[in-house]
Amino acid sequence: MNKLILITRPDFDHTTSYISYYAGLVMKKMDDQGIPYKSFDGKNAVRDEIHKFLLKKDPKFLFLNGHGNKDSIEGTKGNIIFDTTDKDLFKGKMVYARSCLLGQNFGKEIFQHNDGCFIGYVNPFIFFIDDTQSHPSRDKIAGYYLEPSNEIALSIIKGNSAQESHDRGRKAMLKNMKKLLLEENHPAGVVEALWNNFDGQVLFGDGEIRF
Amino acid sequence: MKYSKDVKELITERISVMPSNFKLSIGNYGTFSKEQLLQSIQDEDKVGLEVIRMQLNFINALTSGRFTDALNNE
Amino acid sequence: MDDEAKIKFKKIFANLPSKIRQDDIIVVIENKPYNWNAAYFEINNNTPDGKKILEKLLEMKII
Repeated sequence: MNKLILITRPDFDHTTSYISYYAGLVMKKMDDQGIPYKSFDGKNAVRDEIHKFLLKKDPKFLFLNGHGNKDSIEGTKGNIIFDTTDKDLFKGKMVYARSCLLGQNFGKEIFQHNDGCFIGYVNPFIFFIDDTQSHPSRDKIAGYYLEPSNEIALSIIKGNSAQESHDRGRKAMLKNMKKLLLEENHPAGVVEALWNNFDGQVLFGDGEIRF
Repeated sequence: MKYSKDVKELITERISVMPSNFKLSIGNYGTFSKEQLLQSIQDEDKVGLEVIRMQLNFINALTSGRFTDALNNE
Repeated sequence: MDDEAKIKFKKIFANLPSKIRQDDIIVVIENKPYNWNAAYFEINNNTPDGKKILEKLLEMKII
């Protein structure tokens, strides 16, 4: 296995453009730390190319951003990049899937008795956006959700264990919930959506595995 | 109809105080304005059911003490 | 007013952060929303709305 990261960053709607932008912030840290990665961006986030790379280069950490359901995750629109039939591809790998519902079945089935680990969600991963902002970089509201989520990937690339990375992500969400509750005019609905992601985040597999 | 009139009325009120410039991104389902969410709740479509589930889950976290416990153990 | 329900409500209320108490809408009675603080006031003062609030919270299985 190689100390290499595979990232998917589709970008065809609001959700994918936001999560992919935030994944880009993690990539900047990887650049700073000289950690090699391959990012499948936009229309390049397709199953064939991703699988080819996975088999050839054997990356240890997969940071997957995209729409999902309980059994599969997409890359670019309508292209399923991984599903439960891909079990063998994940032996010993670390996966963080910023995607909906994968934790309900995919994560559990593949990683429960696997040497690797899966961090993901049993709920839809939801977040508010501020429609008055034209770009994710200027959207403070979306940041409350996506910065804690980035903490998971950042923690993994720092060499922390899967358990610690899972905990750091959750801790960052709690910190934001606290911050919102202490603000004079905290916007309605924001805390409950954060709670949804916090409550729904799961870790399967080996909690001690490191990148 | 999966949820009672009272539950839908409550969730509708909770969503109605959401800022008008916010939209909610709900994974595969898309990104929705307040007005769209309110309609979805009335229609009990997939989006509406998900919003109701999320809200009730949060209320449950409040009433069971899980929310406050989590904040205090941070 | 149902004492048991009142006690349940008060115990839950006591465990909520103050921002939640003042901002979080928890019940609607005759098209009027109540947050936790307002609901507490009605229930604690045994008003007719307080009784309706408790009944609804029980029906919705919130308490």
